[in-house]
Amino acid sequence: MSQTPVAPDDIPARFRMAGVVPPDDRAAGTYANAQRMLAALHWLRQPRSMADEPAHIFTHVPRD
Amino acid sequence: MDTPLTELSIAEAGQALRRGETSAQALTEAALARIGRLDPTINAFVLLTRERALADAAAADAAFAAGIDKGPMQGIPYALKDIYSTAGLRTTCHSNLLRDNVPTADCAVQEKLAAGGGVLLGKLGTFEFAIGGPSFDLPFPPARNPWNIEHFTGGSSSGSAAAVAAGMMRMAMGSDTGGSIRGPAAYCGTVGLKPTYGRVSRRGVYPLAYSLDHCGPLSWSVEDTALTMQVIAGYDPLDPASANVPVPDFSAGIGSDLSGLTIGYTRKFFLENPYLNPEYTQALDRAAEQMAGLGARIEEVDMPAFELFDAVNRAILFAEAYAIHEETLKTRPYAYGRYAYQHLISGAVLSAADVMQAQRLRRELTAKVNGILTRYDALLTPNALDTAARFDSFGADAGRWGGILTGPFNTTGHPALALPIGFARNGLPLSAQIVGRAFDEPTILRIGAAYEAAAGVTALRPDLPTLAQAA
Repeated sequence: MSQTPVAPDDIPARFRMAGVVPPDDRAAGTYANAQRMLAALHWLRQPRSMADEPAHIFTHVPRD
Repeated sequence: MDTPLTELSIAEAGQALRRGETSAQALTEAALARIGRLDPTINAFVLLTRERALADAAAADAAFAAGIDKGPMQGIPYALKDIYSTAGLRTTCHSNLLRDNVPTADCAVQEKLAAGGGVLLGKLGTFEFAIGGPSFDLPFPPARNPWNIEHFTGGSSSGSAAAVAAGMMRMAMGSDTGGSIRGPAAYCGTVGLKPTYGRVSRRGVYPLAYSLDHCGPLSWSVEDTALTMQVIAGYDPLDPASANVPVPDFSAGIGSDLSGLTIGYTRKFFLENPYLNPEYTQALDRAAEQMAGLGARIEEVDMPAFELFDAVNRAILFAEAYAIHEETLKTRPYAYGRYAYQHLISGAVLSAADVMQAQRLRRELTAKVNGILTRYDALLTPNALDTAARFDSFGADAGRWGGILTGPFNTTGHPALALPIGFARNGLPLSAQIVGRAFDEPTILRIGAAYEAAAGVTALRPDLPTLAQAA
């Protein structure tokens, strides 16, 4: 499984790229939340074969 | 009648109403009196609609007198999480941003409950926009846990869980995007149902994350839940995710034992989780044994790693939530309380590839759980992994996402029932989840009701007379 570790100093840069500047008194908590989320994202990158790549549809309703 | 009016189940109250032994007016006045005694301590309500409730009750009584029967909620008091829009009644999402918001239309669930003759008591506190809490920098204080008011209720259906646990009403509506019905139900010792994605309309309910949001009830008992579902379930063409599938008899299996059912016990799914309180394992093992004693075949089953579900749930939830709030977060950050801002803004750092990887994995995980559920009628898992935290344990960033195992079934959309299974040594409730096949709520309600009747846990309530004296 590939992993994409996130350096702590990458997070303010990611926010700036999105046009977000957290207020000073909320920056630490904001960065901590973002770090926690980003640290989990390596789980999203799974090895897959072509057979694992059907059209992406999310539904429980049976289709014809 | 020996049982206090506020402790009658929805079915018992319905029978008493139809026999003329009580009235909706009497049920409502009893609920309002209890709320008046307890809510100054519990803070469940952000808006008590006393006059509206009495008017609803009078209408229900008039309907009974005229021989009109609109179903199981007629004359029954209930309340709504304050993200449910109510025509003419303030709907704030527990936020300064919407503190003066008065919708002009009811949400779909309120339409159904009103058409069914229910009695709306008011609006209940939530985490801000169903994510930021427990917070003390908002227009209303956070709800407190009736089992110990120094502890939080879980979130985000915090007022709903607190109100039901405190016996202010038998049923309150919540919403669940990563566990916001089941978490508070676990921490407050109530039943809570996250129905299948698409089963209950979300129209008019303020979204947290469109593709993960579910509406469902918190209640004192599984039977209360089933009766509520009978009123609120059904296709709504105005909710894009609503499923046009038949509405079953949600009470069909209640009263049956568990003969013929095979339940997969997902023990390995949580045993290594660092947040696990060993008392949870003991309680779940006991619950599994009791379900076996009721006739179910119990087998341990492997699930994909929790971390996979968790990563998907976080990426999708924060991406969708950020999309909803982006402009206001950027231009008016202090319009939000600290916790809501710090959570909601996190979605800004996700890449398009992150979100698409999450959608890809979501489909794969859903298929895997569907596959497991071809072999099992239902799954038994923990709900929370520990008891409710103390208010003073929350730091500046409110980062307490770890101790709960509910998100996987928002990711997959399967129905999941929060079921009380006992108490820890600290006196706080423990809870299991019963997870079912898509649109098979009747089976998990059958399992829940059979266990509930045998174990008797749900019948135990907090020491409310002491609370009332404190108030």
